[in-house]
Amino acid sequence: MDVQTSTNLGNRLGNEDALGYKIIDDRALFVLCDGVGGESHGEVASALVKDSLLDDFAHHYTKDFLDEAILHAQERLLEKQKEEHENGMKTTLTVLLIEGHVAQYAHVGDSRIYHFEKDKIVSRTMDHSVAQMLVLSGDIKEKQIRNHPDRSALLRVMGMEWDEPAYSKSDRFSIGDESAFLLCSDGFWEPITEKVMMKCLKKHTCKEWLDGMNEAIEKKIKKINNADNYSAIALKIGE
Amino acid sequence: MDKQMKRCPRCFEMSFDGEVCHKCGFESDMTRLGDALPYFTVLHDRYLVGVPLGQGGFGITYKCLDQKTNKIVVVKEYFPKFLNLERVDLAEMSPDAVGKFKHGQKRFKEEADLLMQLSRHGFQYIISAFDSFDENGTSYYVMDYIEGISLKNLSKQYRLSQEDLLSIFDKIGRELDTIHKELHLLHRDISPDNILIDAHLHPMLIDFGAAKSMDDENAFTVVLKKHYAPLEQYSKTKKQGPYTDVYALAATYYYLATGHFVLEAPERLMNGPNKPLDFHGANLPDYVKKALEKALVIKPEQRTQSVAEFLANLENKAQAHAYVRIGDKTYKVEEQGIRIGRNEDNDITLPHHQITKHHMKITYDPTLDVFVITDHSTNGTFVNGSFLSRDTIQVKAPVTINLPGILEEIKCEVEYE
Repeated sequence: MDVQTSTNLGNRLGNEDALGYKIIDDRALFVLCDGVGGESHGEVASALVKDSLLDDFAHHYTKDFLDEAILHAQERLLEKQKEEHENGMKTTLTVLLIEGHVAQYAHVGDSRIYHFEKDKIVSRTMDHSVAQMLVLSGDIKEKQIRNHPDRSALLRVMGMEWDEPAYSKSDRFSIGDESAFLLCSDGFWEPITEKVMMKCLKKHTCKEWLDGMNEAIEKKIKKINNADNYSAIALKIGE
Repeated sequence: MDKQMKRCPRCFEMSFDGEVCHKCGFESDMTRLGDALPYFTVLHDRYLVGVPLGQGGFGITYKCLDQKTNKIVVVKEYFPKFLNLERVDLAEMSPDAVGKFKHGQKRFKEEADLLMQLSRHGFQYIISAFDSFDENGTSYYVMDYIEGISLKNLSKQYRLSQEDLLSIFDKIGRELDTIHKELHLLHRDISPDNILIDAHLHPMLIDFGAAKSMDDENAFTVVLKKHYAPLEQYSKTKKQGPYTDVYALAATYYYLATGHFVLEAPERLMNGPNKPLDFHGANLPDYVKKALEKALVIKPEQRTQSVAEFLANLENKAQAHAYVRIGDKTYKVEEQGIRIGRNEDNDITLPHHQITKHHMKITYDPTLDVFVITDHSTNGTFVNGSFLSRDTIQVKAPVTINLPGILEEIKCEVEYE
């Protein structure tokens, strides 16, 4: 397994993205969160959720790990909000679990998980955002999500009261040496296209892949004033 | 020794002994709100401030005595929570805070203007404001006080009967429809929390045009009542119209009739937008179910368009009348239809050389709710932009017809009684 992570401020003063991973024997967990809530509350939320998941992975690993760990992180975040009297403390979540040659992922919000096979995109998570909803309703096209006026309007996040679990979870699926994944915040996927992601991936190591994408992002955001934090975890199974 | 009785800040009777009110039971420690104006402050030389009724993101609401009319009123004060103010003193605030304050104040005053506008129409079932003013460095508006309970709270204890529900919705619905058609205003926040009922079962729709929260806290998640808001309210780019209030009204009816929420609009979109509603075993007549289904359609263009239409469907009184309009003339479409052509024996005569003697015919089928348009002409007819030639087509209202050589459009519309 080849893993690389990167995180950047963009033009912001603080970094609200939190990311990390743990590999224990033949299982691994990758987590990336993008805090929302302004006034540095996002920072606290994303770090809390990331740490909670990685912690549970190391010490409370169970059969239904993803469900339990996500609900646990949500509980803890809501508790923290009450403690600090800060309802605004919220975050997106992307989490990828690998057990041997089986993978499964889950997400809440508009940070994404891309799955590649043989350097081509197989699937990506569907954003829990208004822009994504407009694609579903036929109002806009997929490619219009980037730069859409509703871009930052999220329908679901961690730290929002849920009537029922608001995360989306994939089925478990097999992976092999040709499999690759990219977990990234919206500040990362917005400035570059999937074409660029695949171009950078082709025949490159994770470091080269990530460097290539970061370079493309930096070029794009040079022209913007308020570029968001951009972070990613790049992972190739066979290497 | 008898304590001297003072005015009670809650019921305004002279039955308050300083600790307890002998009339309403108010205790001096109750309803303490740190930021609120002290009891018995007089506003606008007229309104005696009593207990605060609540505090929202935008302001504080007080129960007051209108000393001019001796009636109990509600005064809403602009006092934005997110600014953490003590009492409003613009001189002590940072320029950034002053900017935010003034921006919010502008919206507050727009809300007041809207409510004052409503009061000029004498609505019985829609709450309005009858006075507004500036004082203490901020803004206020005044409404009648309603001693009642929201339908939300009422429904926690009682399931309202079909008859009661229909009566409430008919009263509010008719005035709402008038507001849509004559004032071109939308409510945008209809829900069981915003319909109050008094002891005489007199309903009132409140919070018309209420400004939502403005603080950063909710900048990233959509602020709306998720079980009542239609799809178009989630996006900045989608248009809202009377059909937006229709959806919320129907979702409210659905909740009160079945005890369950309609699934959030984005969820319904994902699960399949045409999936039929589950009425959870509620004993509703078929036409009520149909009325709700039609009013809760996800796509705004395919939904019931007006509250009048919704009510007609709900009350099983839907009488559809079809009309054909050209220029300033209106023709009602009866069974035999409307014939259009160059000849004078047509219902609409168009003496233009490109028009055939009996060019086309329009009829209306009420069972399918479609206009049936037949073209018999040489040069054809354009129906909603599509070319029709020696053929028949069925189209739903509204329909726009363009004939060759004729500048004026022919419009086909359906209205409900």
